[in-house]
Amino acid sequence: MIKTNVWLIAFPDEECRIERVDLKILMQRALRIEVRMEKGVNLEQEQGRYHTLCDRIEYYGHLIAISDNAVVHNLGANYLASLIPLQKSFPEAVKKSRLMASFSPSELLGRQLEQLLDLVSTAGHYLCRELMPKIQFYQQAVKNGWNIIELQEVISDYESVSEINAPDNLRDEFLSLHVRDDITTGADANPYVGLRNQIRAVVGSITRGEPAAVNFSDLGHHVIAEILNEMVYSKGTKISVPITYADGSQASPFPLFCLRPRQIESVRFAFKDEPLIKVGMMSQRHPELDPTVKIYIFRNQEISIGKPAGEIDETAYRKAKELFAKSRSEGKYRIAFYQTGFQPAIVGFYRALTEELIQRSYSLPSLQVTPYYFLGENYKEGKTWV
Amino acid sequence: MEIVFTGNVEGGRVPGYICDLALDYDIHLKHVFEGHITPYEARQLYLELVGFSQETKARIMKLSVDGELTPERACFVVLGGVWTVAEAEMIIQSCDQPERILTSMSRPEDRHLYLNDLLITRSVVLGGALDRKLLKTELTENGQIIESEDDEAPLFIDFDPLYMAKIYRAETDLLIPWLRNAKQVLKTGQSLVVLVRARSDSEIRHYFLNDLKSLKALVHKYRLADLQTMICFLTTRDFEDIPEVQQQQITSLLEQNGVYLMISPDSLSSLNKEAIRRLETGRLIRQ
Repeated sequence: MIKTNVWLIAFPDEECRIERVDLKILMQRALRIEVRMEKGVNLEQEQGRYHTLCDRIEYYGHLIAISDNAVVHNLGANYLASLIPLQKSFPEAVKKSRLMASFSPSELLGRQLEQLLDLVSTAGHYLCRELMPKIQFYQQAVKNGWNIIELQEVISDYESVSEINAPDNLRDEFLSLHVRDDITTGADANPYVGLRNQIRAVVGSITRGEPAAVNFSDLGHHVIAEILNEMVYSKGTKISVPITYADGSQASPFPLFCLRPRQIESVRFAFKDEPLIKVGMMSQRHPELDPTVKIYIFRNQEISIGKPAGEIDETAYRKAKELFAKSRSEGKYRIAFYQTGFQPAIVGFYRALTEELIQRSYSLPSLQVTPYYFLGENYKEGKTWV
Repeated sequence: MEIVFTGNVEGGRVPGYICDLALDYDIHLKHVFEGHITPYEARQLYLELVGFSQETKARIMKLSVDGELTPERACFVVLGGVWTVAEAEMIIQSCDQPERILTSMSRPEDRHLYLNDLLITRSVVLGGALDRKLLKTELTENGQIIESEDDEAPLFIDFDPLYMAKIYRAETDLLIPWLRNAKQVLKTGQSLVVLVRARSDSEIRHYFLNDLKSLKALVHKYRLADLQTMICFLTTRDFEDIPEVQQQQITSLLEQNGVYLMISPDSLSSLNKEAIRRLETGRLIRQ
């Protein structure tokens, strides 16, 4: 097995100018990108820029490390692996302390040290035992006003024996893992029936503990909305079904059997004086809808740039969730949702709507969404969500 | 993953040659005449078909049992063209947590984790480039040397996970590429062991002494078994950016230990670019 050593390189401000490069400027730029990445706008481009800057900083870090003016400390080969459980269990504290960052300018070091100490008190000394030498080194660096760059070195751990300890019965254990061992019946000509059957099969599999996921790609958008409505309002044990799109990306699970239909009279009474607001799904896609709708839920630019479907679903979900949360304090809403086709955005939208309706299910109806689908020559009304 | 055969394929049954293949691997197909291979059967068939070594298959099974990686994913990254079999084996056998790379788990904003994946990935890409260079055969046509894309040199490729070193055994004489200041032929039956380290010039200067320790251990391990084994240290073109004096020091240290220096025509930045592309592609494809 190979391992990775993590090296801490500390150096004074005077060492930051190498050839014609000022490391301080590179670090400041990278720090600004960290802030921008938090916002998630143009993420791919920001990630690319961040990588380039970190790559340069680390390159010069290696040059400083071989000079006589740096203090070098090896954190060993276990440090990196210790970051993973910390990130899994305490993602916010890890982010605040910039534990994953590979550089820290002197101006930021004191604050970062405080956050690291906070992380230790939150996560406990046992999980943070590999962090302690780093913290001691940081304390020394703060005292001396140093900058720090953290470098990695992949090494052969040839003194260890091969660590693949395969038990004798490994193949039996592997074959006994839960995987479906039955077959689906023939393809359904009717897409509604097909999706209904697919979701039922997935529910059956995950109930038995077998991995399975619903794939909404290549389905008509009206089929998705209608069958989701049916499944959300059906009787059954609440369950969340995993979703995988055709590009292989995964989205958050979708809650099913989680809402009870409201009485028609109570809905009619609740919305009797409320105007119907016509809302489009996504701007710039069907301009012929512009005169009909008051507003679009999603901006095309924000949703449909080249991301995996799972991420589009997540973005749509977050936008819709934000919108519904905001609408709570604004009174009742009766929405005619002019739905157009974009599967991941639709699934994200209805997941947010379902969660919102669950939250409002113990009070009188205050949000009603009726989808309208363009089928053939005109728009047809779909099943109402309330 | 369920496989369904339509009526266009042998009338809708599982084709006979697939049934034979399944029998060879001791996989019992239960729905042959309905034309279905169940996810349970398909998983085993898929794992056998990729061409992984027994050690790699065992590691994949262990990772599956531990819930870290599905065998379908490990197979798909190879058959989907992200990694070659030799490259995937390098990742699966040499890394503590190969699932992080095979599922492209780390995000660039988590620099330490991402960098670690990148450091391993770029060495894997460099090793893969050497595989391809060695496998390429040269033919002579009208007195001109041409490279053939169809024919591959008969070469056995193995891997030492403790060192992240590639091992080649030639079944015909092969000219070893990229050697600095030397021309050597790998003779039939002779082994070539290559310590792969994709490093920048500043990294080579910082870490070379540690690499030298690994090389000495490699020499001890492989020369003890076979004196004819050739040992090489493969790094990037960035080596040329090291000051001349240090280049000579490194070269003479290698010579003293009987190790050849191999310089890839790729720079670290082009390897990084390719490594990032593979990680990005891995993030987009099926989990």
